[in-house]
Amino acid sequence: MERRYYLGEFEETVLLVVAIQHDAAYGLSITNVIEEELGRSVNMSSVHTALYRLEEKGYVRSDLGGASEKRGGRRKRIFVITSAGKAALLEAKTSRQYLWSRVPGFLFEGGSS
Amino acid sequence: MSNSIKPRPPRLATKLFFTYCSSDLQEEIHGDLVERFRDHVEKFGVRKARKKYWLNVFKFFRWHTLKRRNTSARFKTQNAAMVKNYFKIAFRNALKHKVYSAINLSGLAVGLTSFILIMIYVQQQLSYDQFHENKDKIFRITDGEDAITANIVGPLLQRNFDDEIDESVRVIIMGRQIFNIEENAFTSNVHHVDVGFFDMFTFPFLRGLEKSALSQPNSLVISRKEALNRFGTDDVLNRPLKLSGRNYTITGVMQDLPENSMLQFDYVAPLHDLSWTRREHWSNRSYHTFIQLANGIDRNSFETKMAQFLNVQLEVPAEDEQEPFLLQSFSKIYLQSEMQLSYEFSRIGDIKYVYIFMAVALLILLIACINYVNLSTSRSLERAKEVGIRKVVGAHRKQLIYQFLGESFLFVFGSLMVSIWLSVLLLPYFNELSGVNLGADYLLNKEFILILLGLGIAISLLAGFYPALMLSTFRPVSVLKGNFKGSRAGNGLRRVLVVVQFSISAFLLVSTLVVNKQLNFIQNKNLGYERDQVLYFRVNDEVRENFQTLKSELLSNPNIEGIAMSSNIPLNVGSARGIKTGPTDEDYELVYYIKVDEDFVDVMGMNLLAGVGLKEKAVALIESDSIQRMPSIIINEATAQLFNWSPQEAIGQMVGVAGYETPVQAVVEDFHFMSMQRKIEPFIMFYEPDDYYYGLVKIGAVNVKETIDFMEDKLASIAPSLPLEYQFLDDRFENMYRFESRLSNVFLTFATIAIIIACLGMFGLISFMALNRAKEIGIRKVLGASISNVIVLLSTDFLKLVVLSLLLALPIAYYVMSDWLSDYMYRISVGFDVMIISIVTALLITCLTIGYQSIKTAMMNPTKALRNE
Repeated sequence: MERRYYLGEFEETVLLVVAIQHDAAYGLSITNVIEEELGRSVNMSSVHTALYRLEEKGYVRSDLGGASEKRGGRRKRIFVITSAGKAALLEAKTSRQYLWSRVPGFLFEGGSS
Repeated sequence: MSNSIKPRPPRLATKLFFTYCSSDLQEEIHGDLVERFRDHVEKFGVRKARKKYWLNVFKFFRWHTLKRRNTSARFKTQNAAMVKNYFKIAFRNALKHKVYSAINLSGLAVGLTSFILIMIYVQQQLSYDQFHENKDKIFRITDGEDAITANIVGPLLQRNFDDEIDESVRVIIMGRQIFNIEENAFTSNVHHVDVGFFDMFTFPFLRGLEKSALSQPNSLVISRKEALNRFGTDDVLNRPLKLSGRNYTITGVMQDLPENSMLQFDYVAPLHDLSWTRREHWSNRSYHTFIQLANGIDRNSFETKMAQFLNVQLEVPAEDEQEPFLLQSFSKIYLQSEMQLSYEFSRIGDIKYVYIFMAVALLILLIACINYVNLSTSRSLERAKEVGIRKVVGAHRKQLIYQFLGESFLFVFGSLMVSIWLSVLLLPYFNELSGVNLGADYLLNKEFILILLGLGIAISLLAGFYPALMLSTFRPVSVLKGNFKGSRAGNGLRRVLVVVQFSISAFLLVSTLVVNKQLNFIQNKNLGYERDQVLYFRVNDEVRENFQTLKSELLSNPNIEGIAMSSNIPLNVGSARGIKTGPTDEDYELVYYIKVDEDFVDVMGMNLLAGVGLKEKAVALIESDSIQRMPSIIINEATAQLFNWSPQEAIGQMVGVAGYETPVQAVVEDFHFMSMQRKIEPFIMFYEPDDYYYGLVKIGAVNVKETIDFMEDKLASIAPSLPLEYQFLDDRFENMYRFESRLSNVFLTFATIAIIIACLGMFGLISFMALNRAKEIGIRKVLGASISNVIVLLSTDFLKLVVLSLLLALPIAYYVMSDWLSDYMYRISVGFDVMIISIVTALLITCLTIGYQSIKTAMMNPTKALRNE
C-alpha cells in the first residue's frame, strides 16, 4: 500500500481532536482534551508545534477567532481540518484497521487473565 | 477565588515571552498562556499557577516560535499569491503606459548592450598573451627605455645563471621578407628566434616537433593559415622554399596563432641563419631578449643580481652610475601596464584605453540607471493611489518595497535578455568598428553570463531601491483623500540626476570631438616628407644588381618622378645604433638609422638644411671594413641638437657611430619616422648600396593606373622572382593610426549612444511633467497665456538643468582631455571651437527633445484638461 500521507502518532492525535472540536479547536482546548480525556500529560508548546506542522502540511487551516476577557483580550487561532487532513486521517485509520484485521484472532481471545 | 482582584500572570515571564516570540504568533500563544494560567489558578491556586506559567513560557521557546528573518509558513503561502498579483500589476502598468515602458526598456537595453560589447572588448584586451603556459615566468630584459637589448645579453645570462634561468630566447622581428615557392614569389612576416622559442612560448604544433624544429640551420616553421594559403594544404613538412634567396625546409606547422597573441608571424626561422646576429656584442642591438625563470626564483632578487652581473660585464666601475637592467613581465607587455618602451612590437595595446573603455561602459550604464530612477519616481502620482489602497488593505511597507524592487528586477532582466540577444547580433558590426575580431564565445561563456546576472541584480537594486523606498512611504490618508501633490524630494533628486546624466553626456561629447580633432591633425600634419603618391615595394638581388637599368627604364615614363632604394621605409624605422656623446664607452645615445641611396632624399621630398647630398658625394658604409674610412652620414636636426649644433655648425663635425669616426656631411630637416605620439628622435642616414631592402617610387598624380601597370611590367622583366606587392606610403601611414582612428570611431558611437539614452530619459520626463501639469496649463490658457508662454514655461526648467550640466562638465572635460593630449608630442589644444560646438549641440538636442512635447501640450485645448474634475 502506497503511503501518500505522513502523520506522526502525536500529530494524528492532535488532528483527531481538531476534527472532534469542529470549528472550536485551538491550542489550549486541544491540550485540555488530550490531558483530561486521554489522561496523557502533554506540553502546550508541543501541541502548538504539532498544529503549525499540520498547517504547513496542509492538513489544517487556521483563522484568528474571537477574543475573550479570560484570555486577557487575546484572540484565539481556531484550527479547522482540511479535506487533505481528513484524507490523511482516513488513510491512517484504514491502514490501522487493515493491520488489526491481520492480527490472529486467538491472540486477544483469552481476555486479560 | 475573589472576583474583584484577578490574579495576573508574572510580568517578567510575559516580558520574556514577548522578547523571543515572533510577532505573528504572540497573540494566539499568549492568549493560550493566559487562559491556561486562569485555569491553573482555579485548579491549583495562584502560586502554582504562576510557577506553571513560567514553565510554559520557557517551554514555548522553540525554533518555530522564535523571532526570525523569514516569518512562519502561514505568511509564505499568502506571499505566493501576492507575488502573483505583483507581477500582474507590473505587467498591466507596463502595458498601460506603453511609451514609458518602451523608453525604460530600450534605454536599459541599449545601455546594457553597450556595456556588454565594451566589456567583451576589454576582456579580449586583458586576455592578450595569457594563453602561454609559462606566462608568469617569462620576462623581457630592458633598460627601462627601449624594448630591445644587445644580442650579447641573453647568451651571457644563460651561461652564467644556469640554475635561475630555464631558457633564454632572443627574437628579431624582421617584418615582411621575400619568399619563393618554386616560381611563386610573395612576402610574409618572419621572426628570427633562438632555439628555445617553442619551449618558452606556447605555440602548439600541428605537425613536426616543437623541441627540435629550429635546431638545424635553414629550418622554417610555418603557421597553418600560411601553409593553407601558400601550399593549399597543411601537410607541408620537409617542403622546400626560399627565404631572401636562401633555401629553407619546413620542419614544423603551427596551429593557428591565437588572435590575442602579441607575437604575430607567419614564419619562424633560426636566429643563427642571419650572419650579422652571430657576433655577440654590446653594440649589436635590435633584439627582444626573453628569459624564463626557473621555478621558485624570485623576480626581484634575480633582477638585482642580473643588473649587478651585467654591469660588471659592461665594466662599469662600481662607484659610477650603473646601467639599468630591468625585467618586464611578458604577460604585461601588450597593455604596457608595467612600462612603456621605445622600439616596441608594432602591435600593442594600452592599459589606459582599457580603463577609458571601462569608464565609458560604466558611465553609459549609469545614465541608463538614472533614466530608470527618474521615470519611476516621476510616475509616483500614478502609482500613489495603488500604494494607498494596498496599505489600507494591509500591506506592510516592506511588502511594497519588495513589490517595486520586483518590478525593477522584471524590467532590468527583461532588458538584459534583449541586450544579450542584441549583443550577439551586433558583434560583427562592433568588430568592424573596433578593429578586433571577437567571437560570441567571449559573450556566451559561463563566467561572463554569471557576471551579467550579478550585474542585473546590482542594477535592479541600484535603480529600483530609491523608487521603491519613495513610493512605499506615501501616507494612504493623504493619497486617497485626493490632495496628494507628489513628492518634492523626488523632484529635487530628479533634477540632480538629470544634471549628472547630461554632464556625463557633455563630457563624452567633448572628449569625442577632441579625439577626432587630434587625429585629423596628425593625419594632415606635415611629416617632413611626402607620403602622397609614393609607393614602396620589397627588392631582392635581381633588382639590386640591375637597379640602374630599372631606374633608367622607369624614368623614361614622364609620370614617374623618381626612384630610390633604402634599407627601410621612413614610417616605422626600428633599427638603431649607438652614437658616441662623450669620451668613454658608456657615453652613447641610441640613434635610429636607415641606409639610403643617393636619390632617396629627393624622392621622399625631404629638405637638406646644410651640407651636400649623397648625389654630390657618397662614401659607402661597409661594416666589416675596418680601414680608416669616412663614410657619408646625414643627420637630422634632432641629432644636431644632441650636440648643441646648429645645422650649419654641424657640417664637418666628427661623429662616432657604427665604429667609425666620420664627419657630418649634411643635416636634414626633422621628419616623422615613427608614430606621432613620439617626439622626433636622433636619426642618421648612411649610404650602403648592398643593404637596400625597399624600393620607393614617386609617381605623378595623373594616370596612376597606367603608371603602375608600366612599373609592374618593367619590374617583372628585370626581376621575375620578385613578388608584385607594393603599397602606397599614405596607406601605410593610415594603418599606423588605425588604432587611434578606430578608437575615435568607438568613442563617437558610444558617446552618441549615451546622449541618445539621456535624451530618451528627458523625453520621458517631460512627457510626465506635461501630463501632471495639464490642468495648470489648461487654467493658464483659459486665463490668457499664449502658446509661446506655455512652451517657455515647460522648457526653461530643463534648459536650466542642461546649462548647469554644461557648466559642470566642460571644465572637467577640458582638464581630462588636456591630460590625454599631453601624451602626444605633436598635438592640438582643446580649444574654444570644441567647447562651442559642444554647447550648441547639447542645447540643440535638448530643444529638439523637449520641443515636441512642450508644443503638443501648449497647443492642447484647455477644455480637455479641465473638463472633468
